[in-house]
Amino acid sequence: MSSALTFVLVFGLMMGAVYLLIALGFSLVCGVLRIFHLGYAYFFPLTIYGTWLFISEFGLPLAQSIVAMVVVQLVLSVVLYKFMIRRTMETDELTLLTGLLLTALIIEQLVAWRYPIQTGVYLNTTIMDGIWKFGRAVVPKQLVIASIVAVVMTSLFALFFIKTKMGLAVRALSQDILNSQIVGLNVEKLYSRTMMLILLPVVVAMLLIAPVWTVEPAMGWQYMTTAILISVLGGLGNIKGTIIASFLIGFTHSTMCFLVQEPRFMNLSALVLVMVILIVRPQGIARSESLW
Amino acid sequence: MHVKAGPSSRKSGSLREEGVRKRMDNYFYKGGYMKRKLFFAFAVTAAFVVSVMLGLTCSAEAAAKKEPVVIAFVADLTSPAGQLPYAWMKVAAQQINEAGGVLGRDFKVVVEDCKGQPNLAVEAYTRALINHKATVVAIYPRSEIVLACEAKAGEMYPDYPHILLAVGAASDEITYRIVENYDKWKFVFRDQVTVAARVPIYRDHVDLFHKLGVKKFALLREDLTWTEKIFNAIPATKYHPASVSVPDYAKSLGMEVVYQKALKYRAGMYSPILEAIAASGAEGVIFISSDGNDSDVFVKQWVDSSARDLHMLITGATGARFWERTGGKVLGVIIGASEILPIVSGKYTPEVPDVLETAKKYNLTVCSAVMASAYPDMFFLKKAIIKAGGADDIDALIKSMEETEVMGPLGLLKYETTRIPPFFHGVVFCDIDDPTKYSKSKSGLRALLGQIQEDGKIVFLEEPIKGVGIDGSIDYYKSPAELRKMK
Repeated sequence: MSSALTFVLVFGLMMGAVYLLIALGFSLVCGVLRIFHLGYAYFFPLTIYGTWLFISEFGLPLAQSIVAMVVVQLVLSVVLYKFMIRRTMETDELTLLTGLLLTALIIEQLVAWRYPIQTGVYLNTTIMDGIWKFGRAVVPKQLVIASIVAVVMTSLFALFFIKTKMGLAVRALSQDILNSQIVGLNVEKLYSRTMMLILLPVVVAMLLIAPVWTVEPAMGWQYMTTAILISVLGGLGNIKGTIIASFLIGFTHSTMCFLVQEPRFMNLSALVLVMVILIVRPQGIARSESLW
Repeated sequence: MHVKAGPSSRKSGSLREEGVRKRMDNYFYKGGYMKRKLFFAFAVTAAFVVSVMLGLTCSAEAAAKKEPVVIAFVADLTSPAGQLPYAWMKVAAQQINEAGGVLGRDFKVVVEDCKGQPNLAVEAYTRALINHKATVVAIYPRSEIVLACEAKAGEMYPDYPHILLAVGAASDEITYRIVENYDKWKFVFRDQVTVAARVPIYRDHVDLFHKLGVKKFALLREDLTWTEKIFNAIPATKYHPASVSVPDYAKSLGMEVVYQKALKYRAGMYSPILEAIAASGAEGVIFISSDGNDSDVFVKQWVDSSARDLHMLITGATGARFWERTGGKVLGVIIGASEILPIVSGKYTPEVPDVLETAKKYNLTVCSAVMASAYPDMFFLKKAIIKAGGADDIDALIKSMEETEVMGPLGLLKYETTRIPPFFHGVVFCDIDDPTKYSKSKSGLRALLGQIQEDGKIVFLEEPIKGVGIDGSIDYYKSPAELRKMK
């Protein structure tokens, strides 16, 4: 029993940290742009398969391929913002959501067509092989590193929003667009930059967990579902809430895995948790009117 | 607001009415009406004649062009298990077409991706019939998907007569209803032997562990119909002896299953299971999964768990490029079933091209699951269509399929016609010792087991089927820990 509890604790923390990276971008886009970014699912496969494309088709080394993939993602984000989100976000939300969803579907289909599973796509982004022991719990070193990176990155994000001018501006924008415009904030620029900013946690998360977790063209939906659950539970667009929600879901999952010994209940338990909390606190864990 | 019409409008109105009246009078009373009537009658007749002529021309053109026989393939293309048979079917169609086709018609393979989901498969099946006008709809591979499509196929069959070919699905339930109502379900065929016939494959796995000196092991299976039956005892029938469950079989060899679990399909999280297995004192793990993606994630998490030094046997459908997909983490894993090639090919298969040569020419992976199903199925269909005199009369084609037999790379391909469930319209057992004949008791299905060693090279761990000529021995086995040290 004590061994199981150690596993629950250690894996709960690690899963929570990784989920945080997965959900952070979604939460930000909800908080700043105030849209339910259904295209968020495409970031995940594009990170892995985009990198693979530069390795396999252009023969670039891993590091350069990652940089090239990030550039492609940034460009795509800006294009999506300029030509889809900006044009429709205030006038036709349904078209916007459909457009974003279709973008994710198209990218998934392209990836599945070019790199079906049997192609053998594997990114060697392992930082450390092997296992560490925490008490009786055995954990992959790669996951521990991913968790540390997640915590550091989230802290940097928080500092960015608290300490920098741009962070302050984005927070202001997340609270009131009209007044932000009145005081002279460049809303277009901030939106555009936010679209680029939300990429970073997803890219880092995917590169770190790819050697340990699922990699397949349709993986984006699974991760986006987790991101949506966390963002809704935390209070749409609130980073503090997102942090708490990530760890809550992490611990729920690890409890199902190591205490109940039934990983198939992971999603079910998270859904029940979200439902129960939303009954008690319909706005989620934190206020959704503010980013921080 | 009401506006009165002015005099001018009234005037113009009366002028217009007068004009119309004049034209009506001319039309009806001066013969115009009759002329128009005759004209319309002529036009309609002419249109009819022209359309008939056009129709005849089109039919003639179609006949001259010989529209292809459409084989729709409903499969999970998100898994290697679906991609490989599709690739082999396309190659088979190409080979058949290059050899002159079927009675002058080409085979055309169209694919519908169901992503492994029964609801999408039913939609795909409907599209295959309505949009593609398929003569044969092949569904691969899960029994759950086939059963879902089968119900839809039954509804659509009267309007869209076709053949449903369950490719690679072994569930007995697929053929139950054919016995109950032959006239309604006669179009359903299952190109696999029954689940009971597969049990010996998994006994081979236990035997291998026995040879390796394993006393305690864990048994994991994906939670689907076919694996459930393999793990439980199956009562004897007229056609096969009772099968003991895998744990009971292990017990008879003095071994013990210390951990057993059915895992969700596409679970994605195996670390807790692997930790529990390590804690159970198991010395080895047998994992049966039909999904290559599940196998990948399982292996990735295995090497980073406390179970990393246990003997690992993954079987079902690990698929091609297992080494590449896991970045070499699969080192030391024993694989079976679909990965290794117990090929009977060559002189035994005059109607099916040599699979090893075909694989080389088209850069395809040979796997036993496809060699027993999708690839020879195409040549079987060709022969059945020729025997039926065409593919348009489905009743004749069904009868022809019941009478046709073809030697495939893994032995005889022939459908059972004795109306006993679950065998009726399933393939007959071919004899493991002589694949050119069929047996009422022994299945020709056998999976050679091999281990993935340095650089992804597979070494065979047991003697292969007679005449295949592959070198194999249990002495070639090295433990995963040993192999990792050698890296």
